[in-house]
Amino acid sequence: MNAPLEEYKSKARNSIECLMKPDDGLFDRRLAALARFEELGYPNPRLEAWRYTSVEGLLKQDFATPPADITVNQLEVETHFLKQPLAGRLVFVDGLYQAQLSECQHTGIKISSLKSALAEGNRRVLEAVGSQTGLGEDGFAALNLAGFQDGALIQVLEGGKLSAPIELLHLTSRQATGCKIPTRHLILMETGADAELIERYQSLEEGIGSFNHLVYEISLAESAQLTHKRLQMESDQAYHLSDIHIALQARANYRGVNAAVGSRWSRTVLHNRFMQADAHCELDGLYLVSDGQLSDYHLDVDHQVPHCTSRENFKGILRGSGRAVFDGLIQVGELAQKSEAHLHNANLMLSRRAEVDTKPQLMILADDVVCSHGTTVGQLDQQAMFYMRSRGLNEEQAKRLLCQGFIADVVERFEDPELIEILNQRVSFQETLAES
Amino acid sequence: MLSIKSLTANVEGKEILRGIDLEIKPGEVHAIMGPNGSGKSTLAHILSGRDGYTVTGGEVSYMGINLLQLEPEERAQKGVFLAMQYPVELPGVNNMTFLRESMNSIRKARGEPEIDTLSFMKQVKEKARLVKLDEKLLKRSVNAGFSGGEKKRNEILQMAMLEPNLAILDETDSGLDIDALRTVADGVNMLRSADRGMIVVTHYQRLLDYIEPDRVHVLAGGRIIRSGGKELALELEAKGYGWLLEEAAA
Amino acid sequence: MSQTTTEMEELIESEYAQGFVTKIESDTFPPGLSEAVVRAISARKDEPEWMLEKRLEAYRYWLTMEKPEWAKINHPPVDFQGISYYSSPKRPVALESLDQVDPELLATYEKLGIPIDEQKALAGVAVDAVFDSVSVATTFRESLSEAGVIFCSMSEALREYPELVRRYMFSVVPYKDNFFAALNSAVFSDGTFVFIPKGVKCPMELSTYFRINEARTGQFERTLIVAEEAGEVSYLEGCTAPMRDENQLHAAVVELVALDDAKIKYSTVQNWYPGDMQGRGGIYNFVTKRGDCRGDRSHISWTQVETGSAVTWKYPSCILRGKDSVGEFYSVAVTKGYQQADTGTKMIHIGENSRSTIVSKGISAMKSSNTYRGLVRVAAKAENARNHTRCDSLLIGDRCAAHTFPYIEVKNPTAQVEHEATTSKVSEDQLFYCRQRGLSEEDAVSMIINGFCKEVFKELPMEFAVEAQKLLAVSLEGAVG
Repeated sequence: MNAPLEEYKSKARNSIECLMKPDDGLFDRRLAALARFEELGYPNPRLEAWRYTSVEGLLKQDFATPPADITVNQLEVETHFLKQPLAGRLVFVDGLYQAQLSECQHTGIKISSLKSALAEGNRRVLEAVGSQTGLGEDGFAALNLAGFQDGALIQVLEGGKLSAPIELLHLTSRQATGCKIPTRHLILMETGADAELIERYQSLEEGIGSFNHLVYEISLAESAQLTHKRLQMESDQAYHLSDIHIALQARANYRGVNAAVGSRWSRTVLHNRFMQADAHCELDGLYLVSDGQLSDYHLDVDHQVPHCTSRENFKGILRGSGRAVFDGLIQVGELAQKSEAHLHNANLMLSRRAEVDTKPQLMILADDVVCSHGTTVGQLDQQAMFYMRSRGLNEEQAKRLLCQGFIADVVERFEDPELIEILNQRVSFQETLAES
Repeated sequence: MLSIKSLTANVEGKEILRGIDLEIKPGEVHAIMGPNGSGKSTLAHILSGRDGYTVTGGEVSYMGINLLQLEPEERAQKGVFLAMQYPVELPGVNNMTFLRESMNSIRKARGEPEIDTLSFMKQVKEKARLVKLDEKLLKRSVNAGFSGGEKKRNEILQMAMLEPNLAILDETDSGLDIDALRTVADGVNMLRSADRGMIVVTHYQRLLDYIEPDRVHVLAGGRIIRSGGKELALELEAKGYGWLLEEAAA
Repeated sequence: MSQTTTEMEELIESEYAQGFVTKIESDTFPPGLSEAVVRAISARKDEPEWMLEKRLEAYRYWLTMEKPEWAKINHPPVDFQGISYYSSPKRPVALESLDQVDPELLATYEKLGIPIDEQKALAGVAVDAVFDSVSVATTFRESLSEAGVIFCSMSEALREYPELVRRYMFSVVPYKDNFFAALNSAVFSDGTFVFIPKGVKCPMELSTYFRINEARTGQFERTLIVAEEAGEVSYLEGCTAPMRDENQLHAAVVELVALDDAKIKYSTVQNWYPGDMQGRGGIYNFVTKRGDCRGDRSHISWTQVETGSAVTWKYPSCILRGKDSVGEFYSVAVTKGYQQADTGTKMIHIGENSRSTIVSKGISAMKSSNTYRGLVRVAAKAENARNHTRCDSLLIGDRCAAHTFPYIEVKNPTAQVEHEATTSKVSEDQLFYCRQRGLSEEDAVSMIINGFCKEVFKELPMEFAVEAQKLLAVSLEGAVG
């Protein structure tokens, strides 16, 4: 563990030094984050948040810094674009911003690469980077701040109501195999702004083993609304770690819909902080794991102010030797009277070799609250199987329909037919039968 | 079309059917009546291939094939339909998708092409109207949150769409008010035809006021203790099951 | 709102009804722990050599361990050298009738409402009263021994049935299990031994009352209950302690073993001194309770009503090893003042068709903290395992805390595990409804809380259920009723 740690550190330092010319205005913060990383090291299973999720496999990959220069096949990339009308689009290939493929057609928003905004010395952006995350709660978060290359800057201006979604597309090519891609997104929703962001992670080919390492800082000013749809569907060899920090001011509303249907190893942490009263947050998610895959969702919904509401619903299907980890924490602080928070997690276990570890948590310090959580682990209902077979469906069809039915309420949250189609193409339940 | 000979079966080691003989010809409607626990539902479940029952003897021949060796879906594909006493809820599974997949897998097994969307939609709407099933329910999950009457109507709708050769209605009347009962019966009557056999399992004579059977069988203690015409049902209504049980015991 | 809270708190601040000190001569070791103390305890009890060896092994292992730190519990450090590890009443312990029992002791029990008399016999309850660390009165031994049931103090069991004890002791909770189990193994003072032979249904409910009396006396009870094939027993444990201003440590170990078709029901009402309203004093209750459903179709059921102690750390657990074995955990935990309770259970499913049920009801008031911490683990081989868990928390006042931390680990696809939890306060609507029908606020709250706990109370033996309801009412007096 120590040798790769030393190596990783020196590599991180090198990559930071590369970034320093010219100084992006974050030099001190990056160094402080590196020091923080040296203090924390990589997470280990003794840390409660990493109890069920091992990083050893990831560290063994010894991911390198990606090439700063890559060839991008524009036509190929364009085939992945959403067909529907958009308010704007940002494209990253192997972590590099593709200005020529990105566009912005709406007046209410500003879209750019975070790197260029920092290079311009955008004061607001400089202040915002790290303002929600600090130097990082674990080694990975610290490393991201120390070494991130680029990311998206999305600013929806005061009162801006977008009539179409913004697309944020992350593609990884063969050239990124064996590389880590540390990226950082900054999303600023100004007062009364209203937008939808559709984000996808895709590998251009099967078998690309890259490591997307993201930290998001998303802030919603008063009465702002953001619908954030995320599809993680990288290749089955990829690694993915997202740390998403969301801060909501009064009456703000964040709706997050997540799907993790790719990757060998993926972990998504959603931190939701209510900063002022009367805000609302909804998080939905689904995860599908099969042979050799691990999916980990951590939710930390933090009510420290009164009159906020939250609802979370996550569903997972496990096949083959797939593993899933779910940790859903709801915290209600002393001042957060009249909070309402409900969390639900359901797991469908279809294989003898699968494993699921789920841990919903309630930490309540205020009395006038209504909080609940529920979690289930089970399998397909045999009565339903019989019912469907007695209507002429074979076992495989019945299983597929029941699996789709199981996640249907989460899939519906993606609303958009084009997205649902993309998801359905990736999600097949063909192999369910072979397993059990 | 259906020939049951000396069928015996148990559930968890307990003998439930003790020798059933039954012949059903195309176009006939047979009512099976009997007190609770007589084995009526067991018979319906065994015919449709539900797990949990062990057939210990006898045979069931359906259109010349041994029905008992078929999987539930194979039976369905060959035209056996069971309308359940307690239709199962399938949360998240869209009612129309389910119906369409069922239809197509049955058509496929028969070597017919898949039904096109337009004619499927037309058919399902038309038939929903006939069984008075609110069209909104077609867009919801199968039976999830349906009332008792809505579930039973949905069963009859499925039956109408899948057009079985042998329809088994297991206590379809239970839990229905008189209007719902009439609607369900109308649906069933509409489906009566010269090449379709039906088994109507019921505890009460009531349903038989609306679905007129060709034959009535009384099942008790795992045996058919009396068979007769539709007048037998009326006699049961008037006198209850007691006298028959006594006679059978004597 | 604040008005109501204050009223409630006033009502809660009723004096600890069981807080008084009995004056009785006792033989107490000076504070401190060493190998010599361990040897002395063993010698005082005239134990077999193997027991002493085991104690010493445990002691040496304990020395290598660190006291665990838990996220949700804060308390001043325990000075393990400041505790006396042995205390026993000086009067002779071999008593033939109640007349020989120290009258002051009898009076103490009377005050606590625990009469040791013929009425108990009529109620079908045999009482093995443990006063501090040594059994001083045992009744109804005869009718039990006729049935072949052994029900005696652990000291006696070690003298009379050493091989039986040796076969099962440490087989469920090895001394290496945790810090407090190791300490207990080294210095356990006394406790109860119950043995139900093959095919025997224990003819009466067995109960033990524990008291902590001597200042700075750590209580290290060790209880072992074994039910052989098809044996059945219901065991009741009730606890009260007198008021003290210094923290007292209690680290008991309870081991249950159920062989094929055996059934053990273990019920606890715990009402030790919780400390005063400023958070001073009170018992530290660090208990290891574990049942081993070793046999097929075996059944272990834990029911607890926890209202006392300053700090509680307790997870009565079931290892469901046998096929078709059943584990149950029913709990009501009430905290007020500055009490901290961290309690729950572990259900470890290993056997096929093993089933478990968890029902936990937490009520926190004032500045207390009440945590449910549970684990449901389904091992890869546990075909068709089933678990249902329900955890509800009720908050009274806006300065208390309620936490729910369930861990669910499933490695078998035929498992069905369901966990549900809610946290809320007594609903204004419910209160208003009751009051509109003429109930006082106190009665209304009391009624609602009793309803909230009903699922658990109904699992208690009848006599205990009444006591538990009374205890709940007293504990939350005024806050609620």
